[in-house]
Amino acid sequence: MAANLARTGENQRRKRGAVEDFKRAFTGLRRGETIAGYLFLAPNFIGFIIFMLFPICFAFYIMLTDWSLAKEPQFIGLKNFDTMVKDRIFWKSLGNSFYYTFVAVPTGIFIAFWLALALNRKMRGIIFFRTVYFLPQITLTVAAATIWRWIYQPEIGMINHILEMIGIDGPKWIHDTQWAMPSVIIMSNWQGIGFAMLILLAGLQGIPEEYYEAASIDGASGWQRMRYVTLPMLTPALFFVIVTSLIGAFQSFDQFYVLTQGGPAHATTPLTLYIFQNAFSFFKMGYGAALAAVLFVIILIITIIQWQLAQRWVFGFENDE
Amino acid sequence: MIRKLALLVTVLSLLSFGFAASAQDMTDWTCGMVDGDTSAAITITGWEGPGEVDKFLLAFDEFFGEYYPNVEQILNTGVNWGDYWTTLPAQLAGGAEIDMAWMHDTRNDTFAANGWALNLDSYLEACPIPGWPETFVTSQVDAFNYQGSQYAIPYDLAPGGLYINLDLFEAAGVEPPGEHTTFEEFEELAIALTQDTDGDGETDIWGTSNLVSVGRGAGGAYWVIKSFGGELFNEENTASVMNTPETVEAIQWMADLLWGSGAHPTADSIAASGFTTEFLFANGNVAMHYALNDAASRMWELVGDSFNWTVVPTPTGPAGRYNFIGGSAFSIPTSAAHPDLAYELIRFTLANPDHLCRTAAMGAALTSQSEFHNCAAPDDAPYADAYHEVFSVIGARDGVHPVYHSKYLEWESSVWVANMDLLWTGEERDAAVVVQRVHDQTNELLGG
Amino acid sequence: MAGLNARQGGGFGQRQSKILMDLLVYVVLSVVGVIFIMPFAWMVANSFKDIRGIYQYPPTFIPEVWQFQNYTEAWTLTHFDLGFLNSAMVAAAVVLGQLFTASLAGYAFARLRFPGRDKIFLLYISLMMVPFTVLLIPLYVQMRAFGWVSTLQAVIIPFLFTPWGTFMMRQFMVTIPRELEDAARIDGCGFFRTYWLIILPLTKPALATLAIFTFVNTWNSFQWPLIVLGKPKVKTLPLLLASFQNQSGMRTPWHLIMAAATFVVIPVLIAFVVGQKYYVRGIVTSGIKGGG
Repeated sequence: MAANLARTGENQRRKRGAVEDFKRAFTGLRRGETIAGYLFLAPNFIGFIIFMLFPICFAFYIMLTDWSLAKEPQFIGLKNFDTMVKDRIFWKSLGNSFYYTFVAVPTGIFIAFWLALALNRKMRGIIFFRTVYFLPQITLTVAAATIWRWIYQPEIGMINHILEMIGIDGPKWIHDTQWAMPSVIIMSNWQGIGFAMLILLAGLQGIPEEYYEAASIDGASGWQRMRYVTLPMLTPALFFVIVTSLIGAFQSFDQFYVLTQGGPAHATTPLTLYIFQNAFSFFKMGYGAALAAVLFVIILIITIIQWQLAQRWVFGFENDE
Repeated sequence: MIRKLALLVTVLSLLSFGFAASAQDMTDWTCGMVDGDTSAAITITGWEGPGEVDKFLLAFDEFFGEYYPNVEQILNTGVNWGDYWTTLPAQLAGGAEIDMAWMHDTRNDTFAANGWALNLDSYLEACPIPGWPETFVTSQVDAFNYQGSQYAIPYDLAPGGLYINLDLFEAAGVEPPGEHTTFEEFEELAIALTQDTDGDGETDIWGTSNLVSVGRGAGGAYWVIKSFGGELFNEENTASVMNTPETVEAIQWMADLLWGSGAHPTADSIAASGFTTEFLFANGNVAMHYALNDAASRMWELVGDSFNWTVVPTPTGPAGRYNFIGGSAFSIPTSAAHPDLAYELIRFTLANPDHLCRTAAMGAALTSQSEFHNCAAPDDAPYADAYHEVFSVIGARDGVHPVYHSKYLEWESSVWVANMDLLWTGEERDAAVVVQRVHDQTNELLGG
Repeated sequence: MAGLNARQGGGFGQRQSKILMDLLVYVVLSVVGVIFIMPFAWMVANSFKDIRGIYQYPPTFIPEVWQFQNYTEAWTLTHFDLGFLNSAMVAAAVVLGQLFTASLAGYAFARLRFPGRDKIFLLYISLMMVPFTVLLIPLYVQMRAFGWVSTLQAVIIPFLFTPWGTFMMRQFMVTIPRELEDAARIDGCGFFRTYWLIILPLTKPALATLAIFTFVNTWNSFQWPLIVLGKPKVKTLPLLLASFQNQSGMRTPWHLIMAAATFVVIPVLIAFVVGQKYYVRGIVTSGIKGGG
């Protein structure tokens, strides 16, 4: 009881502190900065509110309904979530989403990191190489998926042809429930690595030359420059790549849609594809929105965890509110 | 060629004199529901792209040019198949005004039940379509009928058949199959035709292809199941009746082509990929390729002179002869701004004898009016006679497809494909096990 | 003395090892690069084949018959001239809009202090976690209410605001040394001038990256334009490309699709190579000169 009271008191004090901070932010020297901050945010934020807030609120309402897209949505409370618990394919697709994300993202970032370091070198023809590694990103997805299907074809495909030469009997790739997911991961990393590579490259390019000069004057070796200049200064970009890649991986859809359509036997159906199918193929929009809410919460939790961890390793993450 | 066509059109128009009732240039193809000076924009959406859609666009132009010169056509065609069926509901749910939409037999009941497609009965009564319904193929009229009402007017039918490489049969010294070939005989033929020509231990000529495919829906197996005497759902579509020896036998027959005899390539391209096993046939690596009638014209182009080929009917089963049939139609969404105009347009496009033969010839598609069926294969095509026999006569007569009830699409994706894939990928080889699982999950879905 | 020698020796060895390292990097980049370039090369090769060449089995890379007319045929099959114009307008508007709004907000999140900043930031980031699938219909309803269905506004205006780009700009701006800004502020620059004259020039690589990403994404954007752009006059390139496909994959003119896909990609390639020009290391001193 007493402890509770004490806690309430503390909370009130903290609240009062916050209010005072807030007041202080609008007076004196910091007033200009506060107003500038809000003004700078305004164009982006107002636009986003107009075009996203209504759709998002609508989606949150829809998840509590049974809506076939045609008739009026029927309010059914949390029944969609009840259905979900018993839905075999939901659990399967949730597992697939985690499998895909936690294999594709680390491998993709690892490769992109080394690629960015290599492509950051001052070498003749480096723009050509950068372009080559970016090409998959701009190749028409249908064309890319078509050739990957050729590559994965078990009987006449390229991978198994090469494996055969070294005496390995290759798997059936996208036609095998065990190998279908790795097949999708390989293709989507091939296609997506250009993005991560480019951001890390921009991060590397953005490190001021002075830092390296200063390090050289201090007699730092190549490795030390990497350890004490490159890596710390790259952490904001790396953090950005990790956070957005995880979000992107949980939301990825196209590569599944064009390469395997979620098969065989739901082996490559991620939650996003299942949401899409429910919403627009089975006309169970309410259920689709409920599934989307689950996906949203999962991504949010993972991102918040990263945010907490970020304060330990990411440059410029000091809390100066 | 053009002169020949023109002659044909003239002859046919004369023949159709009977129901046209007066000289064709006197026939007014409007219904008097819309003012001829009306200026409006009519929105039309469909999945077919250039080549497929052109035959109809010609008719649309003729119709508006003749009767409604001030009407503007807004054509949103070529929305590709998979995207079309997700985009259209999204647009309709958002209240889009679409006046005419391509419809497919697999979706008709869903669209009708959801209130997206207009009930056309009152139109059919007020302004009947000449020859409706007696000159249309019954199965296609029925395919777009939901609870006794018509929701779309069919424009084609797409039956399945076998594309036969005659050179491979000659080399193997066996006769091509026919209408009365049994499934057993077909399998024996397929095995006899399968070869390893270069002796490397790998098959490079397959007896048959495209009968099964990873990711394929139930329509691809239903005709086999029916031929063996099986069935999918009960009358009310509320439960599965799949757990019979007949259904299991049919499915096992298909699986054995892959895993028993090896007469069928094991890993087809995944459905809807665009590049399917047609290329194997076109390159002379398959003796009996299963495909719908609409593959014929491209096959002609692809095969060229490299080998002789024809089409034959699919086999006959212990319970009779059935083949797959599908088909498309034109419908009017309930949110249409100009439904009267859309109806007149559909009526003109699908029933005016002046252009029906041209329409059939331009796409090698069969219009639903039976007297124009033989326009579908070009006269100079070597397969023309066989095509007519296999698709227009036998194919239309024996055509079956699963009942596309309102839960069909979900069932197909989450029950049928999800379990059958295991059989087609070879992870499960016993049809009985898979069929039982499908049976149980079907009851769960339909009963729940 | 010994130290000096060592350093000189090190300098010589460094040059040598740089050459060796370069060579190694070239080899690795080339070998791995083959995998990356192949599907693109395959697309271009197929764009010159006839339809029989496309379906040839086993497939060959080099066309047996070279059909250059695929390009003219594909071009005339649908309104690609209009498509290019539409896509260019949409891409230009969205890129410029996003660069502006994202860099402004990114600067505020990275540098300015105001109450609730980090909470707003997290909320903002969380908005990009909502699966787009469930937003399609409400957004369509909204577009209808604004009268924007089948107009280019519908694919431009809702996409001028980007949490993703804002997040990215923030991450790049936090690495800029604060001293530069302080110097500018002491010289009497307001917040906007500081942003415009100091921050923006220093974030060129990040701005270029955001521009490239936004350009590629907008240029290839498919699902939303497909739903909201129903009229042929406003269709963007990916929609026109997809319209070549028929229900029967076999009746689809794949050779023409490959040709069209190739000429559709060219502007993106140009944008990427041009964007590279801004991938120069931010030189701080010149930034100060520019600001002062």
